[in-house]
Amino acid sequence: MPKDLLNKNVVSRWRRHRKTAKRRKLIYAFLPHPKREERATLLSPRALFLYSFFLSAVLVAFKFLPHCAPGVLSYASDIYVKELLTYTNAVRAEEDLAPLKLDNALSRAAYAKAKDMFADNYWAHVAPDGTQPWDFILGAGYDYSYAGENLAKNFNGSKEVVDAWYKSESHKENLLNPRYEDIGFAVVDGVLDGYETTLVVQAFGKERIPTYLGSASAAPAAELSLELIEEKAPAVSVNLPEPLSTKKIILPAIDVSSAARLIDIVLWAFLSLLLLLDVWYSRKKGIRKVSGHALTHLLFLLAVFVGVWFAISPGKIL
Amino acid sequence: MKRQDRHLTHYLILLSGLGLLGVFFILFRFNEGLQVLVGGLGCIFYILWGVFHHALEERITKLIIFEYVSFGLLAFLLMLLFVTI
Repeated sequence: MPKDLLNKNVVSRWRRHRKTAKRRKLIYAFLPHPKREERATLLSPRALFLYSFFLSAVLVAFKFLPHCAPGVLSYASDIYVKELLTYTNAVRAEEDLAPLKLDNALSRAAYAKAKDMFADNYWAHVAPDGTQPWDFILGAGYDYSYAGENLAKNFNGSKEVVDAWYKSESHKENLLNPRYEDIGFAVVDGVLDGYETTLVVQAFGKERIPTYLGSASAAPAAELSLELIEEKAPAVSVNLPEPLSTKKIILPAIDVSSAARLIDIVLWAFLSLLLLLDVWYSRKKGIRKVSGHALTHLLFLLAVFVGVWFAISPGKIL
Repeated sequence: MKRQDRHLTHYLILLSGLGLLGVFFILFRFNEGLQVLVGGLGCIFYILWGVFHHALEERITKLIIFEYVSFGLLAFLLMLLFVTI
């Protein structure tokens, strides 16, 4: 019990002025207490523990809710095939490379790959059953001498997708590979890992011509990476649905990215404000608390926030 | 070493650590696992910095240790929410 409450006069005074007492209690939820020389109640050890508990609960909910109620949580997106093609050719133009032509067979391959990822619930270049990206390309009737694949998910817009690929060395190699002549895209909605999401598949290729076969097999081994080049195999002609080339918009029940970011920003701003108030009021009233440095906590929180904000990728690429 | 000089050294170490954390965070921006690892190490670094700083100042208490652990944990959870969701 605080010392001043032991004093009967103080107790009786507060009993007479209950409203003032409540107001003071509210004030010291945000400001450090000058007499007790403690941090604000909302920065007390108990409060800090509660914030951590709340954040852990949010994280657990976001991880497990999709498995209990698939499709409730999702990533909102507004991605156009036409824009993906424009931005891809724009980054190629910057390097004086020829623009890629949108190819129906490659788009069918990309669509089949996206559908396969949703059907088998995976996010990888190689399917769990061992199916390679090249199998989809050949399956769509595109007989290639060079082929490649870029994947993306959870992005909001077309430019963000191409920007993310451009910033990653291995994906950039695909975007700027002078050997490719054709390109195909698929932007497909579905439920992956319980989340309603949009997958973007970008398939690159150069069609095989008989005179080119010799040089394809003689390609340096270093270029035969998963995301770049693959040797040809016999083409299989199959009928796959036409690729989606329309605007894709998901209207989610709860957009996970926005919800997580909102919670983060609100809590960050709230803690920063409390720490700022602590520094200002402690200096103003000359309160000397036995505690850590509020200004250092503030600096640390801001550094982490700024770092995360600028370093975070808006979605995931593969 | 004078108290002010000691403080300056401590804060330079803290700022350098946070700067390094930022550089690694950007370097690994397409690798979620490494970003989480860097974030975790950064938070541990901050907790240790706080404990050692106050210990060298001879004003370390359980409450101060708890405070640094709490802020380190909070920053880690906030980072985790941003990176993994």
